[in-house]
Amino acid sequence: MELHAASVSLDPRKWRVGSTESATDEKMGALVFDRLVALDSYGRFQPQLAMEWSHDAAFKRWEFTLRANVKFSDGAVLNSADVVAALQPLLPDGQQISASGDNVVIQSASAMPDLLEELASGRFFVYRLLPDGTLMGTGPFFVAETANRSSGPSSSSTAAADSAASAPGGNKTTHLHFRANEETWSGRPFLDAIEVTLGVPPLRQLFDLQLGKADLVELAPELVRRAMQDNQRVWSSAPLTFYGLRFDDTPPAVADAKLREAMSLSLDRQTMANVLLQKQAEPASALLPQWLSGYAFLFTTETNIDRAKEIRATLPANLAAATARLRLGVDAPGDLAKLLGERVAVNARQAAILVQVVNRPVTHDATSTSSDPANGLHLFSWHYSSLSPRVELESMVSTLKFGESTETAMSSTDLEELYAREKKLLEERHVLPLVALPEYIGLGQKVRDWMPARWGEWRLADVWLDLTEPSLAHADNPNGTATPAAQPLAVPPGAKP
Amino acid sequence: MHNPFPAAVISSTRNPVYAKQKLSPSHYRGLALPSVLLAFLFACSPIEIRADSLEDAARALARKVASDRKKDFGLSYTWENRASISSATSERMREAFEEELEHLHSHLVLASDADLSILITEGPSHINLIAEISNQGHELIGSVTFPKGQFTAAERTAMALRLDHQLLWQQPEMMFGLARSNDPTGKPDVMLVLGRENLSLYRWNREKWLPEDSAPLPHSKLPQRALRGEIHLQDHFFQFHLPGIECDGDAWQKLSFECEERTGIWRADFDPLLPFSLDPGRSFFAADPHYLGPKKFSLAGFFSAALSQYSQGDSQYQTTLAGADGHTYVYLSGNEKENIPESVERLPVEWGSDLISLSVNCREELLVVASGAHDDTSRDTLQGFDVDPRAVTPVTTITEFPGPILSLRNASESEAIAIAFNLTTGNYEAYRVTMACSE
Repeated sequence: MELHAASVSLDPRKWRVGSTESATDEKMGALVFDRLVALDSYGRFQPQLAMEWSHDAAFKRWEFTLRANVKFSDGAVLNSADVVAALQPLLPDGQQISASGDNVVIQSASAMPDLLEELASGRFFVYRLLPDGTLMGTGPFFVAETANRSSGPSSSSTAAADSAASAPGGNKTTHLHFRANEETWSGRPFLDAIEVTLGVPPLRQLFDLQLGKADLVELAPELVRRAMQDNQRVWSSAPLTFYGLRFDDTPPAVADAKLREAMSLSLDRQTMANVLLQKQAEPASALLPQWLSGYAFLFTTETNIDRAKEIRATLPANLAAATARLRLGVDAPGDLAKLLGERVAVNARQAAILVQVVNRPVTHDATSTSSDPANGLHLFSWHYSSLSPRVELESMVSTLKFGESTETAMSSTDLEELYAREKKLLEERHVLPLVALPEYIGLGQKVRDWMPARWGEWRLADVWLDLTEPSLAHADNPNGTATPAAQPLAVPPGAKP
Repeated sequence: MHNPFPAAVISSTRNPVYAKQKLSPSHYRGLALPSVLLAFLFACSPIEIRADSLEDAARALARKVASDRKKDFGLSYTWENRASISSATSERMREAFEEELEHLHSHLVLASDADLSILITEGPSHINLIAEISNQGHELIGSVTFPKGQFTAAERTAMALRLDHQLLWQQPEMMFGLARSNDPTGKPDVMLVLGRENLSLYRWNREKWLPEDSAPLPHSKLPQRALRGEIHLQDHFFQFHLPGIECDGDAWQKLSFECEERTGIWRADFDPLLPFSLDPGRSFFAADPHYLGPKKFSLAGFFSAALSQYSQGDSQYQTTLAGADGHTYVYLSGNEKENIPESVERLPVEWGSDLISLSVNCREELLVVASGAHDDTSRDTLQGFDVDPRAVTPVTTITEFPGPILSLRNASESEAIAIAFNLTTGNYEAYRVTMACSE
């Protein structure tokens, strides 16, 4: 498997919510750790480390009964104290977790009707912290070895994975070697091992997929069409990465509501999605995607250059003009964000708003809000990670700080309240949606039972490799992309790769 | 009244479990006044409504809509299912919605165009029922949520679909088309079999097909090894095509038909502005070389086409094409209004050259049925797929035939006729192919 990320952290406490890096971290974390519950593709919550759960009438107290005889990959038995120690640092303020015999209890002063959605996604993995800083998991794999190309093999722990990944010289390829956890409660995964190569450039990933050197690669949006034309298997998720513009309140120029309105009307999201991103993205008009909120279709965006010019004409001539261009800081990492930034500037210029694009250093935190104060406008990306629309929206608002500072986070999951909250945020135009991008995965011809969730969970423990001769495989499975329908051939699942 | 809402339900099995959510207030049980009071309460308090059945959700939304006096949304509504629930379930919900409105003395009529829209949408764990007014932009005026895990598999659209095939006719002589028609009582009446040399007429008599007439076919100037043909029958009038030849006739008592040589549209008329033809000496379609219009078509040719999406309002459609180069493509018509050009995308699949689209009553969209990438020495297959330019998802099991499929065409939107050569018996066999929702 090849990934673009130059580093991976296997410590959920360190993951930055909403960042593109955390998406990779979460996928690797799912190999090693388990959550209390999971959501299946049919919307049903399935037991994982918790076998049963219940809540009081007010949804303020939830009790989870843990699965018995679950072992960490070092052989230690999971107990309620482990779960409490793992989840307390991850839970949001106001939610307390405590042990009650073999059960764990999560309580809050406010209702938590969407606690299961919250716990079934994001960083809510259960781990055990060892004195040396290593995190042990109960998941289907464990880290057998990490290696940096320059220094050779190193040790075999999540702490080592973290340190290797964060070592200086981030461009050097780092390898992670995961091995099957024979004792995992969910049954031994079919694969014996997973070799992960980090820091692989997108084009190289595609070549390696074509040459059969990799069984799973991340496909950059601009390479998806090429991969498909080359008859490669391509899987896409629901839109998972959101790109938007965020206005700072501090510089007086961008605090002007009329300027924000003119900017909004100037943006041509269709062209961004269909031309710039070659139809591999969707124009975004809401903060949360339709697949998550269910109501995103109610928000529409309008491109109206004439109206934008009219509004611009009512503003002071020196505002966002040649002498004082509006500075757009591209906070999101990657070339795609730079391209989007340049397109925003082109669109704005059509409405006589002059924008100067300021690209940020690669290492900058994508979701940080402590950006250069001179920039009044920021292009940011946000990776959706929660299955609760309320949690996702509140994470977005609090991390990116585009809501009213006096406004308290909402605890209700009522769709109408959530809609009203998002509508208000969009009407204020402190944040302007641009596009939403799915995740694209290229799969080798040998990969079978690739059954990911559309929200980006890969479920690699269920995947196996078909090691029969290609011609035989072809005859029995004519529908090359039909992975769910593909049947095991001569080699049973679990065969050594 | 309903049982007051149980706080929690605990499951102790390995089977799916979910803590039961707080249930909705009771639905109408014949007491108009309490319902009106409830509706008033809903309007005044922003409490979250979670229903205990999808029909309850629809009733709860009806109460919300009825209570919203401030909004002027006329006397009609539209209903749209955008979630993974079956059409039948959606219709039951709609009936419950209307029924509840009737009880509340709010009469709304289903219409194709209305300011008030009721939409069923979904998130990862919930089905949402949303009431929206769209006269000035879009505005949500009410919603009800329902946990996905609590509705049964039969209510899901995502249930397994089955591809059925039923043997209609077999004969030792080659055939590449068959058409049947029924009499007004629904009984089989006439059958026409298009063979390599003859067109044959059969009539249903004493529970079997009896031969009645046969007529030789005109020959193309350019004979070809892989001959193709297609026949359509409406009552007793028929039309059939052979490469470069079109014939029209009548099978009222005996066969009579007239033929003319022509290039032009055969059946691949998915783009009304761009004619395709299957010309003499060719077994694949291509854009008519005599066409002089502004539209362009980048594929060299294709064997068959299956329309899988169509939106008449915006003239948008998506057609899956079995290309003459052996690859499969999706043709997207584009949208002039939104400045989206038409395009052809290649699909990463290995299918055969026969494609059709079929509808099934538990799915709203047309599904593509494709033959397998086999040669004529092996048993062919058909499978149904949900085709999107980004992803192809198999939605049916694979149906195997006793030999290669020589022809596949629609008899109606929900039925196709497949002609296969049986490798074991050496007979040519015609099958009726339909899609069904598995229980």
